[in-house]
Amino acid sequence: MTQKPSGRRGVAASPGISIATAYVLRRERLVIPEYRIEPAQIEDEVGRLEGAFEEVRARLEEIREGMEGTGLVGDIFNAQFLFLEDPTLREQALVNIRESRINAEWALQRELRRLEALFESIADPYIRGRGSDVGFIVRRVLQALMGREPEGLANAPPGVIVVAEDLSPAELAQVTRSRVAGLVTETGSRTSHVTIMARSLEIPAVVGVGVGLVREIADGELLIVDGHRGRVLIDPDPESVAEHRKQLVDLQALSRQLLRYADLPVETRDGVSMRMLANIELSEEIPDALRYGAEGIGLYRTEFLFMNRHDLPDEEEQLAAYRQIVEAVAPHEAVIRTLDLGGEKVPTGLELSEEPNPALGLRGVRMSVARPEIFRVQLRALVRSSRYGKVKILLPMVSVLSELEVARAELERVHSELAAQGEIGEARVPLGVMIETPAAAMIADLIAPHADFLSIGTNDLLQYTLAVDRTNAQVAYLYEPMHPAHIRLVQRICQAARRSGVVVGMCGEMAGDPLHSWILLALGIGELSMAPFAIPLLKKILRDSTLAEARDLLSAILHMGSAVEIREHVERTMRARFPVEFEGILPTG
Amino acid sequence: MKRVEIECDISNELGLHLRAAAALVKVAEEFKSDVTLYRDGMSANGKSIIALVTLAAAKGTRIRIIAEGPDAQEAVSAVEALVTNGFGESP
Repeated sequence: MTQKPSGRRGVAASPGISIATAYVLRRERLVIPEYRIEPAQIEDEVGRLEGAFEEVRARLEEIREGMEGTGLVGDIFNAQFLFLEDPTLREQALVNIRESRINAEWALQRELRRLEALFESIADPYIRGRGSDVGFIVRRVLQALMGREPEGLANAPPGVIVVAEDLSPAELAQVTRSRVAGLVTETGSRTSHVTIMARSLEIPAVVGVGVGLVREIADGELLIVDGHRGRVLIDPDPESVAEHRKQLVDLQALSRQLLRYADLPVETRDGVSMRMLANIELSEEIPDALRYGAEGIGLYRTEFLFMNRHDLPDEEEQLAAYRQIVEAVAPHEAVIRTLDLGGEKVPTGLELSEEPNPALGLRGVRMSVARPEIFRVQLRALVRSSRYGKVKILLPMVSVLSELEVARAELERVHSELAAQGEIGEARVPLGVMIETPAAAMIADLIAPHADFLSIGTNDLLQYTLAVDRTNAQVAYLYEPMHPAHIRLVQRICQAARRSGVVVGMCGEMAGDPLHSWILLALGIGELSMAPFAIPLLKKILRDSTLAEARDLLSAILHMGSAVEIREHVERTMRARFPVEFEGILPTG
Repeated sequence: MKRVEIECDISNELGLHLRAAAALVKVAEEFKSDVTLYRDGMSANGKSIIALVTLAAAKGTRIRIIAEGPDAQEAVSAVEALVTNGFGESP
């Protein structure tokens, strides 16, 4: 016997901490009976097999009725019915009975082996993984044939941590928040079904812990699942339990406390207002964004309308999409960015030539200028959507002033056309510029007088300023929003906006990181647009802050020479001021 | 018996994965005709999720859709529309 390790690491699949006893899902090894049958028995075996399929179907229906998961989780579960009814599986098993004259269990098992081999031969890991879905469903049918109860979570006592090699869609469908406090599996990744399910039900989970976990843990043993750090502690000592219990209480208090902030406006203690907006990809995200306290949509990308298709979306199709956004977010406003396609994801209607370096190529407003007929359709749909709520148009990838001028002229033309047709009134749809190239940042003072608003896109601005592709692991460490060059550019943009009296917002990832909040407050950013869930924490921190202390921090770091030095100083300052917020939510170290 | 045939490309990001295959089965089952998908010499019953998934047709794969039966034209059109719309999937 080796000494039991106290902790195991896996993938942090779903955040949260859970301290509870283990419920280990053990899978009995099924010994499949194999025997030949007489021709007279064939119909009996066929009947047994059909009956078993029917029984499993009825059991799955029962599970479906009691299910909590919806959306993707529901889709995954519903696909199980298709596997169950699949002609490939069922008919081949019946052929095996009739032609090989073998019993139903053997016939089904033989077909499973064939299918498993087929799935195993596929290179795509996702599809190869679906072989397990077939395995799960066949196992249930075999259990029905052999009169065995399928293992599952139906008998799990409430509040346990479920430990399993893997969980089938049917088992996952039985996971509810009241019954299951945490999930730990040997297999799985960030994109596996277990992860999706756990996140959607907000159950702490660690997956991909590795083989042997199920053998290592006894039923009823105390476990700690730390879904933030991807750790599982087995039979932890009292100090670990106390420490995690405190973290758990802190986290619960924090998230309760944070949601209270969702509906409050951001005004610092010394009276400076800031608006918190949400970045979204789909209109379905808007209800959640509003629940988290978004005061509007700060960035809605329109690329998805154009991607994965062979033709271009026409004006009516685009109008329908924009209208949906504008209406869902009312009475707030939605900032909709015009098309920013680059690289590979283009519909054939665009017929773009291949580019050696798409990040520096014909993308964003450059393409809109080059292809006015496409741009015009989008502008018409956007302006028409203003009938249904508040919409603002944002131009991506501007690097020269003339791009704004061309877009402005085009927008004016569209306005006059639509006004003449009686489609819209006199009111103009605001046109803003996304500042995301160093060139635009340097001429922000020239752009601002012609723009209705500015929005700093830090992800691209950083990439272009620092000449770093952050997906390249060898240079990713250089990707640092606190780089003095980046801070100075943002400062320059803010000064230009202030002089022209236009609002400047920020919609890159930097905007949603509470660590940077004081810097942005001090620089004079008026709107922060971020992932919806990040809004409550930002609101809390900013409401507890003063512009005066934020300015002190900014003036301290403006004298510093390196990103590392700045980051350390900002972290120290923010952690000292907001110990609970930074310990509870942000990973330490 | 009518036989209708058409070629198109898998256009959605994830290819003919589980949800896409499930959607295809649902559409194919609405028709009396047999629906078969071909890819590089492999074929799959359009009403079998297992067969469709194991075609492993990734984004950009050219597939041939053949329907045989009384409503072959409608079946092919419906399946083609689903495939070219990227299975209604948002990226």
